[in-house]
Order: sequence, then structure tokens, then C-alpha cells
Amino acid sequence: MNGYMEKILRLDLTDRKVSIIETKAYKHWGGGHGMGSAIFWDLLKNKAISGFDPHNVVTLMTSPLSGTLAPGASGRLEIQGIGVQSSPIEWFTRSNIGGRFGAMLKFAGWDGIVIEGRADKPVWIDIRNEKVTIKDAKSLWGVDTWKTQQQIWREVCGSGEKQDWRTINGKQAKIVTTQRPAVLAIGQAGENLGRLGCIIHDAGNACGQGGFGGVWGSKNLKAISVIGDQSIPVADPNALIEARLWAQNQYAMDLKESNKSRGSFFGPANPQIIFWSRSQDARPQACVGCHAGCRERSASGLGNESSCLETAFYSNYDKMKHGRQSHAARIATDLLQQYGINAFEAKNGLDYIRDLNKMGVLGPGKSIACDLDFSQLGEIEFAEKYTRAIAYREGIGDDFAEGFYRAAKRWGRLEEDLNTGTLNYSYWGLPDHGYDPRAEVEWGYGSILGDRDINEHDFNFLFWWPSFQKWMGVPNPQPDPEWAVNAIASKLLPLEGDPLMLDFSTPNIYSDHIAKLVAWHRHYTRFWKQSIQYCDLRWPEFINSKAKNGLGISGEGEPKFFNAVTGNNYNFVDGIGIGEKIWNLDNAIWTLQGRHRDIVHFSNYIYTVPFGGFGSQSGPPYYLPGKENGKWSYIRVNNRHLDKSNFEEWKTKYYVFEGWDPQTGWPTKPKLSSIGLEHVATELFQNNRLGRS
Amino acid sequence: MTKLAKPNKTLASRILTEVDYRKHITGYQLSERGGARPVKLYSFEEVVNFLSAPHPRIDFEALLVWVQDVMSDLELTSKLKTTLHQDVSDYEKSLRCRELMEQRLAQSKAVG
Repeated sequence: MNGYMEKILRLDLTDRKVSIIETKAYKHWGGGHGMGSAIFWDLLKNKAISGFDPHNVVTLMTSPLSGTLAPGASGRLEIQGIGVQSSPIEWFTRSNIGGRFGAMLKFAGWDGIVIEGRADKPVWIDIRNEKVTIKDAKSLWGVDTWKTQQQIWREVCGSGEKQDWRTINGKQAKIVTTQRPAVLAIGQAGENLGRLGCIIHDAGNACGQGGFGGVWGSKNLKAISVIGDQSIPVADPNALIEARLWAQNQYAMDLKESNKSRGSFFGPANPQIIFWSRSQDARPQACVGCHAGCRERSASGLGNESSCLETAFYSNYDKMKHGRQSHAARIATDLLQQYGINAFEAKNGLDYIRDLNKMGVLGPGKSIACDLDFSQLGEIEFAEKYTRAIAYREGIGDDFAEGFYRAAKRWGRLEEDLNTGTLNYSYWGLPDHGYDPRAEVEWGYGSILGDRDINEHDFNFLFWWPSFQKWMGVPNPQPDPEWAVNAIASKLLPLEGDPLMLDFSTPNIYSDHIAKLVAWHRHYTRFWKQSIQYCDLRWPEFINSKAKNGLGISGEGEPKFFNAVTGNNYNFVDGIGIGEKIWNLDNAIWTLQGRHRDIVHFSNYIYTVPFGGFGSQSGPPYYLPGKENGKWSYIRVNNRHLDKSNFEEWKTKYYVFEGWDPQTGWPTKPKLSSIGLEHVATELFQNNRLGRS
Repeated sequence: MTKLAKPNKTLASRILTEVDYRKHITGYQLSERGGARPVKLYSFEEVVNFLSAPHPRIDFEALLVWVQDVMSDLELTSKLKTTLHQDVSDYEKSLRCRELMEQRLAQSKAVG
């Protein structure tokens, strides 16, 4: 079982029972998400429960590549279970976290953790190789995520410098290491059952979506700490090293000629993904084993390890208040990490309540009473008060902590604000990401067919490259659109060779071609990205300016590392096939939770308000490839909204393509049988939820 | 750089005052990893600062209408219009608009 540690830790918090699940029973799912879905299916008999129900099963799964030298795949961990963030149904959902927890869990001898039940009082889990102890968390409850980790580090390692060699566990089963434990912890937001609650690791890694912080809070689970000193069996270490060197030479940034690497997604010249100004002395920081650090550690110690939208939470307000970047943006983001608050909700929610304040409906003495002083927006004090209100449910923070979709419902504003788009929550009561479903349909369709904002950036370069170049005045953005869509289409195995899958012109976004694109995307990500856990920030890569033929690493790269570690002989399409199976299993779970095609629809503004708004405000110049009058070009896709009836017809095409019942969107027996999921069909049938074939 | 005449107190005051919801203007911050994130702007200064951020996108025609109708700054509207008719990239237009608006903001603060 190369790549695997052969056992999964099973924790029953109710009975404080520790047991083992043998990994080999689930190995055929690959790892990560596939294993998590399969275990969830097997262990939770009634899947139509709230995420706060003690019976909810939460899985934390690594991949066979975790802790190895596979680039951009070593440091991830997949978390699943019934979430508490989405609406109207709390979907079975997923999140993913980077850093070093996944690798350290493998070093301790575990492929994953399964959490069941609810402790009668706050606990934390102390894992030291095979020794697992459920400990009292009384002294940690009420403490923020950073201080919690520090306390646990001291308890496990004692004092001493980070780099010192230390012996843990004493003479018996001793661990000799320079490392501190990797800790996942919830903050006050999770303890207070906030649907915005996250699980935080180190300074800035977050399991952000789904409200799993609140789920842990409901289980009285404060933290999980792990440290180990074991080795991960690798089938062919030489092949793994060779593969890494091959990838570096062929696809990663060329240090001697960095201009050649401008189109590298796999190993770009500037890997940091941050929205605040790089005004500070800082160096890149990476997850375990990653070749490209996308976060930073700064001289000031502020904003360490935060990336992506977390860094956008307050940076605009900071700049708008001060005319430049101050410390406020970094401090505000650090507050999110310390309290354990979902940055997407905090950001979109703040924009929303500011609008309500400007409308005159929210504020002191207004119909929605709120004592936040918006004249201080952009200052540190405002961020402190806002985040504290969410974390502790103070005053109107009790509404915020429910998520802003539910808050709008409490305030009687939901329908109106979803009609206008003032509340830009486009799917399942969740905040819009920025890749608007009216423009980048693969993102929107994938999200509404699933459980959450997909947060999979696989095709977004198709918007960014032309949109950026056109803004800079480049008349014919590169790469040439016809070449680009054909190049990408050649990579979409086993559905290769159909460039219309990348045609974002309005008539085509309701076509069979887009149904194929969305299906391919769902299947690819479910296996290669969420089970084998190739990081979203580096994989897949379709196009690479450094490569001789301009084609990226994807297709060849994913199985190359996987096979070197596991000794399997999978090809790329084998993985897509397992991804399809996982996607079908997930859809079966949602079906049992109450999914039906009739509730698979976007918020109303997506069908009625053009992307960018009405009238003279036509929105951002947003370009994607499209074929019009027989010719490919980069076409402007804002100013359009989706057509509801066309989307309903498209759903039928999609369901048919997947082999699902087009009347309901439910899985069918022939389909499930063809992919080895007969037992799933049986359970659906027993619950009157099996689709008609 | 084009020089703007000194604003009177009324105009300066308007330039420095936040507007209500109905009179806001929306910009979009674009990024490869964030898409197009809308940013509602409620004051002249917010527009200036927004235009200083990385990859700001604002509809130039909408900006002209906003400066003319909401700020009632006819001189600046005229200068912006001239700028926007120049044969340069949208990026360059954005920079030039920001320079003009920065100048007006500084003048207004001096008057106010």
C-alpha cells in the first residue's frame, strides 16, 4: 500500500472511543474526497440531518501524495461532512486546507480521521504517532485559534526553540523531532456555533467553507493536534525525484529567463496570491512540499500565511480610508484567522451591510439596529468590533453569525435583495466568488449542481489573459483564441477534441458542449484535485508558454507523480473515471438530503439583472473565448444575464449526459451499476429516491 | 498635466461629502484569482483611492455621468471627457482620470 499508512483514525466523541478503519477497504477511491464520501456514506445511516446533529460524520482525509515530494500536492487535507452554511438545505459539503497538517498526519501513521458523536464537554485530540488521547479542553475553550495552538505546542513539546531537537512521549514510543505538532483549531466563532466558523491551522490556513468550525463547536471539539516521525512508503522514489525534476525543467519558472515562464500556472514567476499591497519586507511561504509559495511571512509578523480572498477582506476599505495600504488590512485578516471566521462571508457581508447602512435601513436607530460606526470603516477599531460581533454573536452579530443570507431573511430583506443583487449570493445561500455565473458559466453551473462555490480556478485564465491585455491596449491578446481553445480541448480527456466546450458566447452556454465541459470539470476535480489533492493554485495546467509546444503539464503530470508514489499504473482517464464515480456518490448523498432538480436554481438576480448592472453602468470589461459567425475571438460577456428557461433546458441536457434522471436529477440504477455503486442504488431505492432510467 | 481651476466652497464640499445609496458608483476589482469583485463607491475620494488599487475597472461613461450629475463638477467632466477621447489604452485612461480626480480632491481639501 505505497503512499498510504494503512489505517484511518475513528473517533467517537460521545463514548470517547478510539478505533481504527483499515484504509485498504477504501483505497480504490484514491484518497481525500473519494474516501471521505465513501466513509460518510457507510457510517451515517440517516443523511437528512442537520450539520449540528451529533450524528453528523466529519472526515479529514489525506491523499497518497500527502507528505511526499509531489509538487503542489503534499500539503492538502480534505474535510467533509454535513455543513451548516448553505441554504435551504445544509448540504453534505467539503472544504480543503493547506499547511502541514495532512503531511504530519501521515507522518504519525494515519491516512485520515473520522469524527462522530458529540463530547459532553469541550475536548481536544492529542495524536502522537499511534498514541491518541482525548483530552479536556476546558483551558482552551474561549481562546482564539492562535493561542490555542501555542498552548498545545507547549503542552506537547514543552518550551524550547522551534529548531531544537526534542523528544516527545518519553522513553516509550518516543518521537524525536525538530517539529512542533500540526494543530487544527476552532476559534470563538466556531465555539458559538457560527455558520461562518472556520477551522484554522498555523497562522493562516483555513478550512473556510461549509461552517465546519461551527460543526466542531457543536461537537465540543476544540482542536486536533498531531505529531509523528514515521516515513511514508513510496513505490519508486527515484521515479518521484525524476518526475519532479522533469516538471521543474519543463514547466516551472525559468530562473535564468523568467520572461519565458509568463504563462506558467504550474510554477509562475510570482506565485504569491495576495490582494494587499506588497509594501512590507516579506518572503514567500509554502505548504509542505510545495514548489511555489503562494503566501508570505512578513517582517512585521502581520498577515502571515494568509492568501487569496482573506487578504481582500479589508484591504479596499483600508485603502479607501487611508489613501494607501496601512496595517489595518493585515490586522483585520489576522482577526478573522484568530476568531476563525469565513473570509468570504465576512467580506461579502460587510459590503452588504454597508449598502444597507447607506440605504438608511441599518444603523443606530434604524429598522435593523446596528451599532457599528460606518464612519470608521477602514480603521482597525471597526474591524475589531465587526469581527468580535460575529465571533461572540454580540448584538446584531447574532444575525451575522448565521451567515448573511440567513441574516437577510431574519431582517425580511432576502427576496428584495436577491432580486436586485444587492445581496450577491448566487447559489445555495452562499457568497458569490467573483467569477459571475452570468459570465463564467462553468463556475456557476458547477456550483449550483453541487453543494458550494466550487472555488476551482481551472479555466479562469481564459478570462484573465484577454481581459488584462485588452485593458493594457493589446489589440490581439495572446494566446490566439482559436489556438487556445483547441489546445485546451486536446487536454480534456476523455472528451478531447471539442473546442466548443470552451465557447462562452451566449447561445452556446446552454449547449451540450457546455454540459460536457461541466461534467469533465466535476469529474476531474473530484479525483485529481480533491482526492489526490493536487492544489487548486497549481493544477491543472493546460497551457504553458515555457513548454516547447505551449501545452501545460496536465494529462501527463497528474498520473506521473501518483504512480511513482503508489506503484499503480493509472492513466489520466482512469482518474477521471473515479472522479465520475465520486461525483455520482455525492449526488446520491444530496438526493437523500432532499435534492431535486426543481430546487437547483440560482438566485433571482442571475436571471434578471445583467452582469455589471443596468443602464450606463455596464460593468467590467470581462472577456472569454467565443465563436461568433464562424470565427473565434475573445468576446465581452458582461451585460448579460442567464435565461431561466434556457438554463432549465440545459439542466436536462446535463442530467442526460451524466446518465441521471432528467425529471428529478437523481442518479439512476443503470448508471450507478455501471460504475460499481449498486449498493448506492439500493439505498436510494429504499428511500424512494432512485431516478427513473 | 492639465490644471483645474480652484473649486468654490460649494463644489469642494460636495467633493468631500459621501453620497447615499442611490448615488453610488460601482467599480470592479479584477484579478486572476478573484474574478471581478464589485466595489460600491460612495464618495469622490473613494473613487480616487479605488483607481489607485491594482486592476481597477470602472465604466468610463458611467464615471463621466457620475462626476457631472452627482458631483456637478462640469469642469472636471469636460477634462475627463477630453482624456477619455484620447487614443490610449483603458489602463492609461484610468491613470489619467485618477490624476485629474486626485488634483480635484487635493484642491477641495485645501478649500474645505
